[in-house]
Amino acid sequence: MPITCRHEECANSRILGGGKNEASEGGRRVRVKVRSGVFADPGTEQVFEKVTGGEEQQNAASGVLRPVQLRFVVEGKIDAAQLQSAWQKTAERLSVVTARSHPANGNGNGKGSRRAPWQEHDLRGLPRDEAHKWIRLFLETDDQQGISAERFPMRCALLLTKERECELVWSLHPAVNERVDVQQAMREILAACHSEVRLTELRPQRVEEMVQQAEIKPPVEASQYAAYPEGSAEQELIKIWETVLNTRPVRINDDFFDLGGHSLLAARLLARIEDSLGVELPLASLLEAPTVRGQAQLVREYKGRTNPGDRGRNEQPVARQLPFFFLGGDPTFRPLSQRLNELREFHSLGLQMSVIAKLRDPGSLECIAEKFVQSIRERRPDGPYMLGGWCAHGLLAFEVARQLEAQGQEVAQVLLLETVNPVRMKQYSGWKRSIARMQLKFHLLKFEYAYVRQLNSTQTRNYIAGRTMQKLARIKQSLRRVLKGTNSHPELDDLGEGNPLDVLYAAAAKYYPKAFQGHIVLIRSTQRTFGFGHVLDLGWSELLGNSLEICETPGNHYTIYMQPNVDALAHKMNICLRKAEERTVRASGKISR
Amino acid sequence: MSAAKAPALAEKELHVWRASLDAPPLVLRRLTNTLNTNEKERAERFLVPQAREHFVASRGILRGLLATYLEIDPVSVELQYGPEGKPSLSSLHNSQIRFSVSHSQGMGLFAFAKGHEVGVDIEWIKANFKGMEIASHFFSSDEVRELAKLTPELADEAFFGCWTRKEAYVKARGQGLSVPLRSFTVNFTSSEQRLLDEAGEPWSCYALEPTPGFAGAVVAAGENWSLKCWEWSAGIESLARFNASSV
Repeated sequence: MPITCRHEECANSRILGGGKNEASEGGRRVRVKVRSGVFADPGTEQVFEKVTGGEEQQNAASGVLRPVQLRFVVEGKIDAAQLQSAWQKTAERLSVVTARSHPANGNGNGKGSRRAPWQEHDLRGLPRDEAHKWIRLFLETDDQQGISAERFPMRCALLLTKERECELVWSLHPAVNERVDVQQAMREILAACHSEVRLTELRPQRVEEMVQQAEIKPPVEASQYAAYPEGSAEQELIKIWETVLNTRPVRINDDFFDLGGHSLLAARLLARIEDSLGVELPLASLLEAPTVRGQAQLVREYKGRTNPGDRGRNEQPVARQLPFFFLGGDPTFRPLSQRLNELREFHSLGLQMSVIAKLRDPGSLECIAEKFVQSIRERRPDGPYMLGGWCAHGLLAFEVARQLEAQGQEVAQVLLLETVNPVRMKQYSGWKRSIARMQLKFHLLKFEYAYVRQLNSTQTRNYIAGRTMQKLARIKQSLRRVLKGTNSHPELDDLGEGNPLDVLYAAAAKYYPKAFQGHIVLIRSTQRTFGFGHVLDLGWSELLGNSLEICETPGNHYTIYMQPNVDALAHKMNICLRKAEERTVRASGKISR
Repeated sequence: MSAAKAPALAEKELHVWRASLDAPPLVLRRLTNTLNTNEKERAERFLVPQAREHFVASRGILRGLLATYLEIDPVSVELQYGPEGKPSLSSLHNSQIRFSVSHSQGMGLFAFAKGHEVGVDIEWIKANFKGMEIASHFFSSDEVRELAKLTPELADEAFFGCWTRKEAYVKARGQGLSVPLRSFTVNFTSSEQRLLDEAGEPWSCYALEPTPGFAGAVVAAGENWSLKCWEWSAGIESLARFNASSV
């Protein structure tokens, strides 16, 4: 499981490889191990891992979060007063909204007393089924009593039913965009209850079940998504509907507008459908097909239309598939390359030290670009061309595109992935840039950690060895620089050992982008750094004017290349490229008429 | 319903009513009683209790307001629905009154005009809504570019300004979601503007600031409207005005 904990301390300790968190709870030290469980009983830990891990995987695979509700009957020595303070502290730290009741504490708060994020509701005196009904409402409804899913994605309710027994019910709200390490949070909460809790009964249980057990007719049916095969349009749509409408369950014949849907939600729904299923439905389609059933049918029809095998049946002009040149040959881009490769003809071009060594002026991006223009034209002598690159490679792609145009070639599309206009960035203050740089380092660390985790042992060894060599080379160079005094191209001192990326970044920093008329899409990550990194257009609007389009893709500067984000990225890139292909067809159609 | 007098709707007057839809149970019950069987059935279909209450309140208030303009009983108001589901007064009433309703997060806006189509929209400005996700899918490229020039915080708010103007226009046209939002461009910085449809006919668009935290806009066919805003509260149509726009 990749690291997903929102708390930096947790993220850090996990990067460092399974450290320990020590939290002082109510004057008592509770030791919370980060990697392994907190349960004294290994059997409990095993069951806990199994149950929560299974749910987690299900969430990760679908990319859509669902409310996860588990019921634990905890047996152990429970001191009500201690529990109260420990519970509250943990909950506050984790931004978990909680509710609890226990019969031991005589001095409870009145019904409906409200305090965020710690919500107390006295459920004493309520029959068990009533309490469950209340908890269900608490767990599933949003925007009630100041609790919004965005602020408190995780909710937890604790019921002390007997002297030594309690039930813990929790849910992760479906409206959560980022993934929360629920396992970790649950461990901490359980640990706060008592360091030696033993789970006597542990099984995933939907709250509906609890309500049914209490012999109450459930107000609504259980989610039906499980009734459809994994990966079917119906299942995916039910998940998206439940997330967007923030309501559960959605049944296949429920009308979108009866579920409280309105036009803004419709827009969001269709945007999500486009991202997850790759089908661009018009807004009006929701009027024709306002149910999951109807929409699933539409999705299949649209998919059929865009399926390459069925293209012949489509009466619209068929766009020629143009190859896409992606500048940057780093192995970290492999997941993206693989996906793009499935979608279209794709070339990835990297920068090699041997090439740099032969360049007239390796310090100038224009000069590096000349080399790329040459190798692109070797593979494809004439346009239209489509190219793109990430970060500094985007600048390179931009310059290559300019040069191709200058040679009279058509450039149909340039994709800039997280590429900064260096001229505008320099206008930002130094301290803002340093903070952003630090944030980037942190993002990179997270990315590398996740990246290394999915490699096998040989690959990991190679990766770490490579990174160490790079670092050593850099240290050597800076030492040399100190000894020799200043040098205009320090990174070129020893081309045999240098990193081509350093050369590229140095050249990019000095690059001055000039006007360009072609179509440019800037792809931005949703998790941005402070300062200039936060500006949506990264300083391009002024220079590019009408030709600039911006689209967003989930992840940070680096993790957009990781699962599951990379699917969305590849899909978005492909949509941009497809639109560009259609444009070229229309344009050539006009000329021939 | 209360017998409070609604201000007369003169020619070239555009009336916008603001109402909180989180009505107390008593008021809600009274409003429910003014709905017809179809509307009550529709209310029952809502699966989210809050959505049901807001529907009942907005429909009840609409009936009440129409009734005062028409000087009849709210129960007697007959509505008919256009091809895209836009409600209008039944031809039985032989009235020129056109109206539009919108609500978001328990705040409703009701717009009325004589003889000209109107559309109104209100949206709760949700923090961290990530409107650009929607904008990049559905807005015109000019609008996306203008939004992109703003800082993320401003862009969030501007998105709602842009969305409500577009939505109000589409609603005034009576074509609902079937008009591609991309097919026209609004200026989301000016509080008043003229939009031209495909036939070159002008539509007036006014930005509203219904209450802090909400964005709103009203669009009416033609030009030179005199915009008047009123507050509806729990059955007593007080004539307190609210600001149409902060400008």
